[in-house]
Amino acid sequence: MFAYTFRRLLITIPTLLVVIGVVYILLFSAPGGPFDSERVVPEAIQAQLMAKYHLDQPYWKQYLLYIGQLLQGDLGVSYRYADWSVNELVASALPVSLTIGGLSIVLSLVIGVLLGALAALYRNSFIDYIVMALGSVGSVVPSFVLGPMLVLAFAIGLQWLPSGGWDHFSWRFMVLPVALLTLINVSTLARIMRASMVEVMNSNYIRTARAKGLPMHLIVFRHAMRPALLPVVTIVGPLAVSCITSALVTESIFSIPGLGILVVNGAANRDYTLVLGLVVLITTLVVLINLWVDLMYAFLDPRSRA
Amino acid sequence: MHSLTPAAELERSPWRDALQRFRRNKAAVTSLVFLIFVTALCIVGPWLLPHAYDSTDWDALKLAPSLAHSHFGGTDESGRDLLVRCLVGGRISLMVGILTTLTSVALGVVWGATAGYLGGAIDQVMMRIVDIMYAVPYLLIAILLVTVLGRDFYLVVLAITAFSWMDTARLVRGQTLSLRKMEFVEAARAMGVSTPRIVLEHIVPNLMGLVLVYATVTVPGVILTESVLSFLGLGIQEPMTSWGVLIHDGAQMLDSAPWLLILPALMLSLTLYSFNYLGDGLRDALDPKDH
Amino acid sequence: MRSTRRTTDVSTSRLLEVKKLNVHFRTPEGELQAVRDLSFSLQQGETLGVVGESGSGKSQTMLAMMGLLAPNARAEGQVIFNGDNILNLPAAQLNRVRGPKLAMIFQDPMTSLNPFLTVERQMTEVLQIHQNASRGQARAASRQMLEKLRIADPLRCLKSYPHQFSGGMRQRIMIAMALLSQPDVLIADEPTTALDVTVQAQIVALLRQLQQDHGTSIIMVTHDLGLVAGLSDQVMVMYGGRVMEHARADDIFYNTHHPYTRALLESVPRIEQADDALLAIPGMPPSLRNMPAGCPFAPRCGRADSDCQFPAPLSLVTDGAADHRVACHHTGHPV
Repeated sequence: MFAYTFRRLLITIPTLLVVIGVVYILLFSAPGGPFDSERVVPEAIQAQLMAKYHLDQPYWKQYLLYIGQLLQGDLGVSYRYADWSVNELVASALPVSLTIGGLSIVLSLVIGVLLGALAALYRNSFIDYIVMALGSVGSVVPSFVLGPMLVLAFAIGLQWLPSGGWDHFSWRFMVLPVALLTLINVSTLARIMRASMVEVMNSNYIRTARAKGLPMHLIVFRHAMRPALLPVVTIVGPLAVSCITSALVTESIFSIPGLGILVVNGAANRDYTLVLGLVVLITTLVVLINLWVDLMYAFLDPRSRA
Repeated sequence: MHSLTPAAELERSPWRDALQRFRRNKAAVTSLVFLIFVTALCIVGPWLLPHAYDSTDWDALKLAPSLAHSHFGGTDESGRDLLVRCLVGGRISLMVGILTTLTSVALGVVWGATAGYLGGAIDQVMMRIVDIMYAVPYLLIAILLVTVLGRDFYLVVLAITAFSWMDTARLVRGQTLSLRKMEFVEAARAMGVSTPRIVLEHIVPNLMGLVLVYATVTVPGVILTESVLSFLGLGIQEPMTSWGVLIHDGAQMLDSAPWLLILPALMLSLTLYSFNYLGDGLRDALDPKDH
Repeated sequence: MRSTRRTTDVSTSRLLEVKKLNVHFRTPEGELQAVRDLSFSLQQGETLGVVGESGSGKSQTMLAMMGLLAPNARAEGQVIFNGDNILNLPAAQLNRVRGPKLAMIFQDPMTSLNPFLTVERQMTEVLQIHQNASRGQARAASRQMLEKLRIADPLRCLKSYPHQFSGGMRQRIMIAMALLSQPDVLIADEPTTALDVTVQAQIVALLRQLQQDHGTSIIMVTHDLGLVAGLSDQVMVMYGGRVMEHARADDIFYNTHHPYTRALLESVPRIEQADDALLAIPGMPPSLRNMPAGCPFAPRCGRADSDCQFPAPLSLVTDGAADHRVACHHTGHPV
């Protein structure tokens, strides 16, 4: 198990370095980038950027110094707002995104696995049809359509909830964004869980378990759950990643002051260094999540450790 | 596995069988018809409707859709006709979709075929690059590119292309690897046919079917990406419009004019749905054992 | 086990009695019948060999007895075990018999064990559930059983996962697992088909030994007539969902009455045979969708005539043992 982890890390780290490098170069040497001679940059910012990003050095040195900076946890400074460092901006936005994203992943997993398992065990029943219908809706209707629809129904129509905004983690503002993300994730998860569970329940080793006279709850929980959950585990990585990209849309719809809005506004303002810092942060998160998922998979399936 | 034949024999049954199978799939055929209808509507419609997509009418602000007046789809807060805007927006969305798909599929085919045919270290390096591309959250990089390069139409296409070619590349590489071992390729090589000719004349035609399926499946993803970018205000720029832009605008006016959201959202969703069914239908038609 | 389904049959020395078992499948093409009017009985310590080609209905018979049929299948008839009819019992009640008293091992050892659980977990749970044994007791019993099955280093085996073993080993583990609660009947559905010939011989020898030690009755399902030769007391030959011939082992081999059985015997290659040609039965077994109206073997039978348009009832032979039954119109004398 340890050896496997080590091997995966060996592959992950170079990937990360390459990606950061490419992004960095792209940003700083692309035409229309921040250091085009036609661009007019305020003195204060120019000086700060020079110092921070060592722009008088050759590219390779810039890159190494930048990596060094990153390893110390310094994500750079904002291009537009001289007083703000990226770290500061992230510090206030990250908890918001994490809360909403985290809540919805947990809810999606619990509800998705439950619904999927029930649909598989009681095939062609009412609950099965609901799961299949949910699956169709959530996977085809885009989040930026579903979101406003939810607002239309619950905020404007029924007036139960606010249509957007944020107030120090007050729960009322969290309901709709979390509901949106959960709805979309559950549709995928439930379908995958159902298909996986059906396949497992039809397998030869479950037939053996039934032949041994084991009670149904034991068969489902001890024998069927782990193999059935494997495809779900595989999808958690991509799901978490899509939560991150969905955050961009969700936070825009509901005006949530999280990382997503930071990226979107940064891009709209052409705040290059901010966007760079954010992209590096998020890519690192994504890569780490994928690594974690691989390890989880190896842990759950004894066969893949060979 | 897809039955692979030397290029010359392709005119025979495999395509006819596939066509037959496709025709029997009602959902796929309906989707195809719908898509043709929508495309035609978007191209021709704006010429037939009385209003221009950007002409404001201060006497007809925020009208609800009805057949009573000339604005069948209603109007927005500047009096612009919604239906025309949806159709014009559809033109842009579909154009982005098709153009981006063409470039990304072309890139993917070339990349994959080269990697698969040359093999060895080159193949390894090329596929490692694909893996790295997969590891990156594409929307973020697309946003990054748009930040750096600007929001010109062709730049949006480029930004989205950059992240849509990998599936095709992987698939094409796999097929090329198995094709390379086939006898007719050996024969061509023995006869001294040059490598690019082999790739173009023997390998690529055999991939056509699969590539067609993948192209159809790529289009909705691409349209969706453009819509998300536009929704976030980072895609298509004013004065041009697309379904994503319209949905963004509509979302702002939910409490006073919900039709501004509903009409473009409906068009987008139905189009995406249809492309998905079409793609499934094509895949079933060309590779029935796969399902 | 109290049940209102207690039969009034006096001969309760019969451990297992199957009466007129029928198995139907609901398919989009209509209802198909996989097993027709099957009956047999088994005494304590007896071995029954069930022989037939693929599609003969032999596996479906066993699955019906164990309540393991597919959801679109339907079983009729009676399966009387220790005096109670267990056919179509709800799972909760069936689980008291299935496993501890009536055990089954399957054809494919590679996929019949759960790859996510250790061997120990899969073995001990049988005793923990059915005999309320403690973890320690169950582990000790499992280890003993593995030793009896000549598995080296049983402790290490218990801690391992199924994928770490070969097919032959996995089948031994399955047998050990099935025998843990000392069942009265062990059903073995083609236990050696997926294994090498040498391993095959070992497994059969093992089963014979275990039968002697524990007095377990065995139902051995196979397509290989030779396999049942040394092991069985009675043999039942199936074809097209019906029983073609059913008799004591000796009678089947030396007093064969049914043309199909005869053909099966002749198709087994013998080393001392002079000619190179292998005798195969011409034609293919009927699919369930195209079952002939009369005797299912008629299309391939050398002796078929117009009588064979009608199904032949399974009846006693006139010139043989008292319990030798054949389903053939041209019977009465050996083939």
